[in-house]
Amino acid sequence: MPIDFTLPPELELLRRTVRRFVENEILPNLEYYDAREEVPREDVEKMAKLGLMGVPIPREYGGAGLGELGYAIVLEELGRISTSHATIVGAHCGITAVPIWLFGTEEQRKKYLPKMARGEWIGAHALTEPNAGSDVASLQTTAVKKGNEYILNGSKIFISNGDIADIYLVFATTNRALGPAGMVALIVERDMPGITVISKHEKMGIRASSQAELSFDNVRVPEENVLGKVGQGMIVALTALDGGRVTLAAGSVGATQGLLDTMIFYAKHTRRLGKSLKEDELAMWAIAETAAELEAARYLVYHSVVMVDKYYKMLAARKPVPRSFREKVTRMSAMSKFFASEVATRAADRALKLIGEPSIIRGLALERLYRDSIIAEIYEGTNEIQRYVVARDLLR
Amino acid sequence: MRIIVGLKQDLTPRRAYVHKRKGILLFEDPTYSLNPFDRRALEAALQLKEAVGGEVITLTVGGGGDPELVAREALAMGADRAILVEGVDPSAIGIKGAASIFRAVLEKLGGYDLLVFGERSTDYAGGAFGQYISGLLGLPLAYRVVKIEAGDGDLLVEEKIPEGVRVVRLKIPAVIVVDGTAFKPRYPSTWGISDAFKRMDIERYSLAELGVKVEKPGLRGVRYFEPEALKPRVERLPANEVVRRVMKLIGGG
Repeated sequence: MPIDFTLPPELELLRRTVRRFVENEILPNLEYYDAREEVPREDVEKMAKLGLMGVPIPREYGGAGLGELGYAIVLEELGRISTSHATIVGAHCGITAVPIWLFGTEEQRKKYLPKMARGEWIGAHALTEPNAGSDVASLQTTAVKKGNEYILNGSKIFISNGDIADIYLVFATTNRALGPAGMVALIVERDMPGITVISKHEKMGIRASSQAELSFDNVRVPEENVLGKVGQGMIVALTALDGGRVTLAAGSVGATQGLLDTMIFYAKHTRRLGKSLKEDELAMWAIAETAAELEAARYLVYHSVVMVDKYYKMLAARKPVPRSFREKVTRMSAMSKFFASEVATRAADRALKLIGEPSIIRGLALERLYRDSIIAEIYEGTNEIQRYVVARDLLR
Repeated sequence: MRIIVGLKQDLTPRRAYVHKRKGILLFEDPTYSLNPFDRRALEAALQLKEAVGGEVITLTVGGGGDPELVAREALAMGADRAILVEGVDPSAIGIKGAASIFRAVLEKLGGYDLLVFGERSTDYAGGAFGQYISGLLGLPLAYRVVKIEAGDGDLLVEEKIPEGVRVVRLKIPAVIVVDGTAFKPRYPSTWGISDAFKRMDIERYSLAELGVKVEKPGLRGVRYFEPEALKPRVERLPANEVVRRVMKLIGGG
């Protein structure tokens, strides 16, 4: 593989466009939504109009066809200003629309993807349960076949976009005795009777996005809404999360960039003890270390994204994927996720200590960036699970 | 309606400074992008096309930097065609040289209804191109336009003037210079970006193909120097005087 670290020009234009959009359209109202803990529906509409809801979905299904790298760059630029917005797009596109593209029948793709790519339908990935989070095999939500329908019962928790979604990708077990082999992924539409959004959570971070608790009470899901095969649910979930984690990591790269920019700006314009922070060793060290970690995280993430892109294109074309490649993608994805998210939290910690008092004041952005940075270490599989995945693969 | 929009690539340096001994202006680590004022000109053209039909063609002259990205961004925003004249740096040939290239391309295109330009550039703060072209081609000019409506063989145009707004009727073909605050530009959508790179082509011309001999610029920078730094001073004033001065600064009162 030739190593050329320049982005294709279309992605350079995409990056500049999204950066300008985020600064002009999203940043001005961000503190308002964060303070009220409210999903910025106007922003969701604007992002949809700009085409940010279906970046990696191919043109034939209504997306922009700009691949996983284009999608990662969008999340990076959103994450630079707002992890909440990156979360909204990530939950909708990366782990709900993309698996429909990867595993869907032609009918499912044509029915759901164009509307999802245009943002007319918002998606949510409903995997986590009160007793099954990163441990996906312990699901308790059941899908029992009755005639040509599945009867869905159970509850889901911490579901990003849960209260604004039109389409849920719900993971359930058809037979608990079968373990992971009994899992099924179902495309569930919000207006199917029996779905309740029980509550939203009050959170310390990503407050301009929603995480909701869902309940399914005898929801009748037609058989044709099974995504992939019955028993393949675990594969659908893990494959979606391979891409989800890498692009989530791209959001962390963006957040780190935002924190580094803030630190540099502050150091250039602040004097302490009679000299500029530019000449203060503690400030210099904090900036140099953050910059180095940022570059390392960015290239790890881009490298992994390019692999995920190749992997997904093979899957979507229903080509066989060598097991060794699949495992490498999972490993790279896991490494990207825990490394980049921790680079971001370290950067947030350094920025707070460098800037001091102003950094803990509401409305001055840093305080929000700090609160927002923590979640990336937790969602889509905690960093401990990611380390386990990497080590287990290397130690086989 | 056939609308031609002039788009310039602007340079944003990481740092700009004057070389003291040589008296030249230096740019460190520049990035190139579409002049934001020209983006408004393109927006005005696209809105007019959406109202009355026709086509929007953009024209960029560019040597160094990345003029292709400017042309692609125009296509991504919704321009029908993007023309790029390559191999010549517009900042080196001046307004006169660029205008002669512009005229040659217009002759190649054969017929147009409206030429639209941005108010000024952000790098060298040039802001006379539209006016110059209107003089060169003998076309009527509307300056700092905030609104355009199509009439029957003419345009009803609102110009921003110091006293307010002046409504003028403009016979086409004509030149419009768009006001720097009007026509908030649309963002190129991801679909537009995808199309601009994967489905559309840029039309390229060289100076030889156009048969243009670029004249030496009439105006040439001789020497640059930095102004003396302003010295901060402290004044003690009564509160009402402070308020009066602040109001004056922010344009109120």
